[in-house]
Amino acid sequence: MATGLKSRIIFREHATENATLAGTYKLLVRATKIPSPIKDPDVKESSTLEDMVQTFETGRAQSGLIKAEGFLDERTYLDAINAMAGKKVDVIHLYGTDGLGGLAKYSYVAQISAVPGDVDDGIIPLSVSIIPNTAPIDVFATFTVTEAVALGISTFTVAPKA
Amino acid sequence: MIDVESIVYTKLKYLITQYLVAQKYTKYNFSTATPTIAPTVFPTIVIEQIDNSINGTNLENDELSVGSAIKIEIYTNTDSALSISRGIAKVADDAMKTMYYKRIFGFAKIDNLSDATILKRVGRYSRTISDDDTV
Repeated sequence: MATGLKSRIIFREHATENATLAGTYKLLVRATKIPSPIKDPDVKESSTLEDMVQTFETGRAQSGLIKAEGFLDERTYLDAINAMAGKKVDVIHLYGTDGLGGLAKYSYVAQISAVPGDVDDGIIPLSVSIIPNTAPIDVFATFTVTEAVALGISTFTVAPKA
Repeated sequence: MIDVESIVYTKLKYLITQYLVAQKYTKYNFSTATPTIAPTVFPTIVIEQIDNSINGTNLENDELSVGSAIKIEIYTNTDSALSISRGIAKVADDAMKTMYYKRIFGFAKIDNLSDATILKRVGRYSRTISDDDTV
């Protein structure tokens, strides 16, 4: 088991349609909350009039806005997200306290935007909206992630698993 | 670790000292802890940070903000004039407001059963301070 600490979302500008996920990524935000990339599946009733109890089949998984939350403690992340306005990005959710997706990795193509959240007398939140364009897929078995830190900013390299 | 206690202490000490000098006081004392026995110098002003717990963190476990709570105690006696405690409290209160602290208690007068000539006045303040904030 592991806590949610060091779970991360990383992104890069979407490469060509046929490109692999391999490449260099940035941290989306130093997040306080990362929603699940996939919501619950629809439950489709399959029972007939002859059935004594209802029966069901798994339907399509629900999807929609993924709203990651962090703090506007510096402009680095806001600027990087604003630079992606109108573009598509490759997004990878990393789960595991190694910060590199040691427990799970999910990738999808999305569009992202960020704005300061509602403020009170606490620190200013940063709300990052991720609109998924494709279905998230589990890439744990196929890609590895490494991290390099320079001046406090992390850069992630995603490579195919050997 | 985010910790502004010394900055708050220094600012308050400077402003209160200016006020006391203007009021012709030559003896006064500042402390960062509540005295365990009755003060011998009046007025004595205690400025102590009583909480500095983290209230803003993220999944990276960064310390992004703390809830700072500052306690101000003012001890005066008949020699130093009880009314001066109200003046010191006002100076302290104005200074704390400029540092965006919110008064959450007081200034309350605390009775001293063992020595009715000593008056203790207590105020408490709190605010959230982020790692980029200045006070």
